[in-house]
Amino acid sequence: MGDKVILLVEDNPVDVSITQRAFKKANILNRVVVMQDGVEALDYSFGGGVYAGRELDDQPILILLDLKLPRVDGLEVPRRIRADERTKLLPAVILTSSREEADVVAGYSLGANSYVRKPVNSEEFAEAVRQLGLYWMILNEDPPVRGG
Amino acid sequence: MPETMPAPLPVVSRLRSLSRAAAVLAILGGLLVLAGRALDVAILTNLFPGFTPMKANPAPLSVLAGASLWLLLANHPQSTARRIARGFAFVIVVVGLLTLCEYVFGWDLGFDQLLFRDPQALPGEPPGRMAPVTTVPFACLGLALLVLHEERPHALWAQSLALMATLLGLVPLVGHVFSAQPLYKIGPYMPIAVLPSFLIVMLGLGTLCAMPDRGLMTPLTSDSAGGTLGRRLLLPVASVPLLLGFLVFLGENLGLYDEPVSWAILVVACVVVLTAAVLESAWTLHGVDLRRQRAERERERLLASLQEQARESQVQDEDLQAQQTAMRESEERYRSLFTAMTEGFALHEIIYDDLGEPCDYRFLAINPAFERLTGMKREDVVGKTHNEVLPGNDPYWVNAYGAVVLSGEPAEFENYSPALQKHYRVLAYRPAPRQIAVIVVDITERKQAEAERERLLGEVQRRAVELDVANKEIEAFSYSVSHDLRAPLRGIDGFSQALLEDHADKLDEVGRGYLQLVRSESQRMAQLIDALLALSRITRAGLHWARVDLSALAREVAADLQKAEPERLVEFTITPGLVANGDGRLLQVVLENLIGNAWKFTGKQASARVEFGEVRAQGMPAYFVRDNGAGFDMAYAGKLFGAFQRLHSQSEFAGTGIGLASVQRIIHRHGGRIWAEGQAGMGATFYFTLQMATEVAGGGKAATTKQGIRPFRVGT
Repeated sequence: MGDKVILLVEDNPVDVSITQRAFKKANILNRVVVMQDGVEALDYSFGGGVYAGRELDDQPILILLDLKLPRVDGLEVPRRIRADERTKLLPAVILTSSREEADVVAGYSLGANSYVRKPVNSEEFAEAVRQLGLYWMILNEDPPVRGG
Repeated sequence: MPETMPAPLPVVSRLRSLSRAAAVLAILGGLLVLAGRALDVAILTNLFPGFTPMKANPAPLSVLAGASLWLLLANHPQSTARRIARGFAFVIVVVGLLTLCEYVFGWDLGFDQLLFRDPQALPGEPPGRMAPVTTVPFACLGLALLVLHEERPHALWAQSLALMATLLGLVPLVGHVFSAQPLYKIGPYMPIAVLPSFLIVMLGLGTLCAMPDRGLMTPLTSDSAGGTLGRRLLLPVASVPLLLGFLVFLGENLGLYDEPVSWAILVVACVVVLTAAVLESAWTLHGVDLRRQRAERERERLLASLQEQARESQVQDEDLQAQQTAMRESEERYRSLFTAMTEGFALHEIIYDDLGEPCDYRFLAINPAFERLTGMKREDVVGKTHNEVLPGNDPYWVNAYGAVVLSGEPAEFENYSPALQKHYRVLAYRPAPRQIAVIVVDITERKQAEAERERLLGEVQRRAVELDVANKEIEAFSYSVSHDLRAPLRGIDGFSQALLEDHADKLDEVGRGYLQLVRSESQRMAQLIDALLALSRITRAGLHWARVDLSALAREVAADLQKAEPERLVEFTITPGLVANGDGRLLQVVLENLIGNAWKFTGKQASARVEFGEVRAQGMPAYFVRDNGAGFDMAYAGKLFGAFQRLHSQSEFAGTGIGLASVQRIIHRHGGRIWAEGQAGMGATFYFTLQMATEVAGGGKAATTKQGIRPFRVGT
């Protein structure tokens, strides 16, 4: 379990840094793979673009998605992941500063497993990340991986 | 019926002929006697030997009388003939009367032998003088001829005189026949001869018959029963006794029987003959009368049927008149409708081209309203065609009218007439083949109003689109603010935290304090951003109307506050059962803010009290939240509800300054109003009303965008 990666889709390096620090402080030692935008995230997930030929059996244990991303919108990523047979069971959590109701509803309806608002307070933020990681990586079993 | 002269019966002309014959005979007789005198032929003067010879003078009188009668009968229109006839008659009268006077007064005027000497005169006789018995009838005859005239009294007189002369001639004539001398010889005077008696009778009858349909003769020649009877009886009654008497007298003279027998025979014969005559006449009259009665009945029947027909025709006349009156009234009604109706009315005749397609129409009649609506004048258009009157007009009209005439189906359409620059609504139908009647209403104003409405509607839609775009922009802006303003704050706070945790040994106490300040300020800024976003959402979100239990909401808010700060002692007084129409989620925000403020601003009170209740304001319920906290100066009441307006320092009472602005926005969106009363240090009361109409109309949903129901606002 510990060799599985956490896919963090986030274009803000400050947020990336804070999130990584929160994982570390919560003793979650999985490698955090950071994608700068939606296109990169999808390429990684489906072995396209610069990630052509990547071993697709090695899927992330958790995807954390920022909603506001360059190029492909954050909501588009979970939609595409859910639409594909290989990745549809991956846990995806929308991690955003938006509190817009429309975003929340859209996120859930597109297959996000969870929707977490990033608090400004760094202690609260660290606590939210810790709980998310624990919930999805420890309480949830591994998703069945295709092939094998 | 005017009485018309009946056509003269044949008897009239026969009697006239008789009269003419008598005149001729009298002339001939007179001339004969004159000839006899002149040639001294005895037979010509006394007819029979032994008879009294005729004197000379009666002969010319007879000729004059005959000539006079002939002239009068000839009925010459020339007054000369009449005057001559009257002259002859006058001579007769004068001679007759003068001769009579000679006898009466013993004169001898010397005209007795003017024509001839009278050698045969008996002794004692004035020679040549005619008998006195002859003078009177001649005088009568002369008078009769003098006055003989068609007029009634004249005819009557003439005929009376003629009748008298006839009788005076008849008496001596009969006397001669029966040898009764006293009848033709009076006293010592000389007797009248047979011939003058005969001539007198003839002239008398001739004069009587001269005007057979006038005077005494009228009944004899009339078509009446009396006339018939008279004609039938007159001749036998006059002639039979004379003839029988003569025959009986002849028999007696021949010695066949003696006088008494002859009387008996005469009487019996007279009775028989006259009775037969009467009976025959009675039968005849009876038959005539029966026919007359039948004719009368027939006439009455015909009359009755005629009257019946007249009545029927009168009834028909009346019917016809009633129909005509009804038609006239109906015509007048339609005419008045035609002239008084406000819709234009026109009758056209469709004109076809060579292919039988309608190509034009001719104005047959238009009413005053049509003139008014189109501006065309009757005298200018009636009789002319559409293309003549309105050249270049939209062919739509001709086509539309032609279609109605071809199909016979009434149609209604609206169209613009470029020639008249007006919009019309037209109802068209076909009253007769090739004709079309149209009822026209000017809808130009309505069309313009519609166009204006369309324009305004378009404007509204354009504005709505603009508003929508603006809302979308605000949404995008809010989204952007939510993300992009918060992200740096997270960085500031997060790295401050990282500094404090990972590098605390490199900082002194003051430095660590500064870092804490950096963190708390960035967190307060995050709160401000959140509050702003909430305010923006309130403005944009739609209202979900429902019955909202305000009392229950207030209790929940109070309980939440108490739970958050259990150490505080605040006395809540909440009036139960306050229910209003509104959006429950937004009204919760209102109460959270108002009660939350009350909670906050009573924080420094030893015995805090917060009250939620209802009062009446301007006839409608106003809800209030009252506290006995810090209060405010009424001078600043206007600033209470502005965004980021604060009447207290952050260090005194924490807050974003957004709360009351949000509350006011929510209340306004409910069509209500909000205001506050307070005094520094003496607490504050916030009142708000909701949709006025919902309360006044007794509940139910009402338009949320209604204007003018916010009589008073604070802080705007």
